[in-house]
Amino acid sequence: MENKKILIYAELKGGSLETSAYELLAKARTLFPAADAAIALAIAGCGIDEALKEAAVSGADLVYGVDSPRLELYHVDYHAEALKKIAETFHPDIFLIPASCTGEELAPTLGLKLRTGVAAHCVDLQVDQNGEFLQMVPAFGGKVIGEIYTPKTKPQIASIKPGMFSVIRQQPRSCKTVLLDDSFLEELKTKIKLRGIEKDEPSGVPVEQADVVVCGGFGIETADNWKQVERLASLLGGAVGSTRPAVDQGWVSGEQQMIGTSGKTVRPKVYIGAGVSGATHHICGMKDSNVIISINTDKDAEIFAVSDYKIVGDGAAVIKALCELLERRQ
Amino acid sequence: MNIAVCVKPVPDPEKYNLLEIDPKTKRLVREGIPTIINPADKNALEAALRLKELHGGRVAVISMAPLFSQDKIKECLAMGADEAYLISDRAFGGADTFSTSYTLAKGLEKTGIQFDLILAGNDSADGATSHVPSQLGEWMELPHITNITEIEIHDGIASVKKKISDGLIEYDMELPAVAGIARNSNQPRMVSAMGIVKAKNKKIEVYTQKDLDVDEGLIGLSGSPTQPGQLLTPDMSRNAKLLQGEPAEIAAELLAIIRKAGIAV
Amino acid sequence: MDFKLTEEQMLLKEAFRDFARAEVAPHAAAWDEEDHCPVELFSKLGELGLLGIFVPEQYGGVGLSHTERVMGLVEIARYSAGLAMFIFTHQLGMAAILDFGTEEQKANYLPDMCAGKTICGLAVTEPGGGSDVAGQKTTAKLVDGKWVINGRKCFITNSHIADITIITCKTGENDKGRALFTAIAVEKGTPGFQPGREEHKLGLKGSVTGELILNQVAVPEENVIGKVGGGTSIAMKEIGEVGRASMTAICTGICRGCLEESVKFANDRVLYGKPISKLQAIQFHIAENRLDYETSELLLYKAASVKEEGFPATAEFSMAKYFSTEAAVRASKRTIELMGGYGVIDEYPIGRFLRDAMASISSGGTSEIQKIIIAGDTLKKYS
Repeated sequence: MENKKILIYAELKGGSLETSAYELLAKARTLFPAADAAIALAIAGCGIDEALKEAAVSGADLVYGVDSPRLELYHVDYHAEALKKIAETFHPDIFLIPASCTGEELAPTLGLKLRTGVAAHCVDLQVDQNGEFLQMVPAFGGKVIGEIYTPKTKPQIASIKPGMFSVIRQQPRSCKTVLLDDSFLEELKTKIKLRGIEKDEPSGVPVEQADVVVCGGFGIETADNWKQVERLASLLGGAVGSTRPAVDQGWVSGEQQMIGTSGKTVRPKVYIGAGVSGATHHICGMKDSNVIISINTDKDAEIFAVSDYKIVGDGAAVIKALCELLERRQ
Repeated sequence: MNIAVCVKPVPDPEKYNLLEIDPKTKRLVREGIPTIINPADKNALEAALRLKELHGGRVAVISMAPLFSQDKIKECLAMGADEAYLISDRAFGGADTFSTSYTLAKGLEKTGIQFDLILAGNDSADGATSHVPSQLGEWMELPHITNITEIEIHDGIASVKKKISDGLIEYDMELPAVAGIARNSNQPRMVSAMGIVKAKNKKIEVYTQKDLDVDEGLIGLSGSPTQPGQLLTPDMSRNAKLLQGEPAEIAAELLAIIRKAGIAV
Repeated sequence: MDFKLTEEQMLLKEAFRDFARAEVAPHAAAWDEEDHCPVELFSKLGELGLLGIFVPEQYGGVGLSHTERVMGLVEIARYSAGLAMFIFTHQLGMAAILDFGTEEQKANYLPDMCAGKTICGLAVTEPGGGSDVAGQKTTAKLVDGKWVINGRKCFITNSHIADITIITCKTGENDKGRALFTAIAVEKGTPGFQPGREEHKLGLKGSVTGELILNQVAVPEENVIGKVGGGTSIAMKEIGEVGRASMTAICTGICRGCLEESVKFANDRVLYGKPISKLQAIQFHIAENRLDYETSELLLYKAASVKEEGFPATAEFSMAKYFSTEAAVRASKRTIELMGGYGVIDEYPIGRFLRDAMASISSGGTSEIQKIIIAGDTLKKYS
């Protein structure tokens, strides 16, 4: 079998690799036998020495880097150009990009720049019996999963939501690091100027990394009851999750904790849903949690169909009781 | 200023439970599911109408959709858009985002209007790729930014705020430019009776393949670099065990379950 | 004979329905429980264009007809008959000004009423006469260039919230000794004019119903709507057409509510291992709900189209009002029974539908009055 080349865009967070890089690397390794595949990480940033070192022992075969002040903060033109340059150097068959807020924009941009197809927000990647790369994408809020092929062009680009695959640390392999000259970025003309950045208040454990997620929905009913949700998450050392109705009610600000196809995908050890009805698009964001516990007053709530444990009753009352129990034990 | 808004009629997300896969053709049966304008596109149209109120000019909506979607396009005119262009032809069917954005770009070119700003909803309720704004920008060789929550225009510049995971980044884009407007970034105005009456006199121009200067190899299913395979309805079911009793009793059972799952409390 | 809606009407119907779903449906139960009239929605209704939909553009309206007006009322009443009462009473007053007012009065009053800034009302009924119109005792005497009004009106919708109320007063007698009435516009806050008791009703809660007390209320001569002595024909025409059309629309909306709720319940409720919609007895109920709804709707739009053509539609609206109000009571009762125990639980709207339907029967003329009108027309036409 001819050697398959897989390129993975490894995003950075504070100088180290994002978890998504490890998730994609682990998945990429499952696609082809190790001897037949060369997996490269692409890193684009400013001051990336530490990141390059980390990437070199991640289990990848190659690391490509572009180090430039133009890449310090996210800029679609510069970042896309840097990744394009790496792709044109490595010539991958497959190019995996995390569908973060920024990756989600880079993937289609690169698809056009490289004149190739892009499968968006893949929930799974496989190789079929003919050796063809198969991308599984959700549609209609996740109610339907469709297979996507990119038969005629290379690289076959796929974007994947962070948290969709598990992190499985790989053994370091013999790895070559290639740092590309960044002068092409200096010469790049762009009509977009970065003016500033407004950061949100940091809010504890990000929901996609927590071991326990306590998710509240419309059935929580009041802002006072919502405090119980927060209390329980805190007592269990976990994170608060929300559905869109909870965001609309103003119990959480912003969508950072919103779980669903248009929000975050979580796979914690324990997911507790209180007052969540279980619309398909929400279920798609938490269905791979290890243990799913749901509380809802509606005995026919859709979430019960995907739960390991179900309680027909008032979510806020059960959560409050659990908080009291935990506090007594402390 | 001249603003174009790309809109897409989609099956009503409230009625997704009616969607079925035909067991023989393995394709999705869309008949009988009511259609609406993609919610994010309404946010884009609202953004365009507000800019028109501030700066004057005209708002055109453009859509690549089947002919029967004309009543949805009329709704956009009733909201306040000035004119509409509907690109409709069997040849465009089955297009992925690469080909759809190409066709939209050609449609915009055909109108003969020099657009200062092209808006689109960031993602559609059905496909939800969020590809089209970026790819449209690339085809038209215009600067493009997606997931925008705020947009202001001054002196030939669009100042935008793009949502990222932990905040917002502010950019200035030189016009003409393409902007993907984030869902729920504003409250779309209601369709009023007066708007409907005025819409009667607004035109919807239909473009077929022969009206547009398109390369056949780039349109429709055959021109799409991605090709669809099978459709599956995933089975995510688990067998839920019912826990009963007073909240305090249930709490005790839950504690045991949580600890067994590996959480140290 | 075209029974289809025009493209414009279809868009309007959708716009009204979307508004009702977003702004009315979530609050209808609370308005009923608290007996709260949602005046806070008034300006949004103005923006929607429903209030003045039948008023020409030059006076701030949309320039369509009463057909589109009742279409909107059906959509609103499907969720809240109380709100629909508030809206149509306002439109009743507007219609009197539009049909009988001077250019100056129209230009003065109508634009703010279309925009949702000024609330209008119409007051005819008194303790001494509702069905008996000639039994009204409120009087108005012209004194020093002003009409001085004394009297009492009861069961008046919008009584406590209207900014301008058109009041019918006895101003004289004709040569046969019959009382003559005049319609006069009285503004809120005019000395001597105030609302009295507010009624708490069995149904149509969410609309304000109460007394109006007039004690030496002096208003300028320009406030007379139409001719002096022409008040009865104004009241009869507007109540007969606009009023009854509206009551029909409200009850058609209630019938649709019964139909939709009964179908939903029948499909969701599983007994004996399958949805009860599979049971014949339930299917018979569903069929009858359908007929009550479709017939009410047909009578409504037939009467509306006669009016639109410019012909008197008294008998048509009488038939429509009588049929639809009684149908709404039947359909609500039937749906409560279809739902078994759940039918009497307040979480479902169906109990409210029954109460609203019952309260609708006596508004705009009792069923007995309607039958007299229908019989009168029939005996003439079919002799």
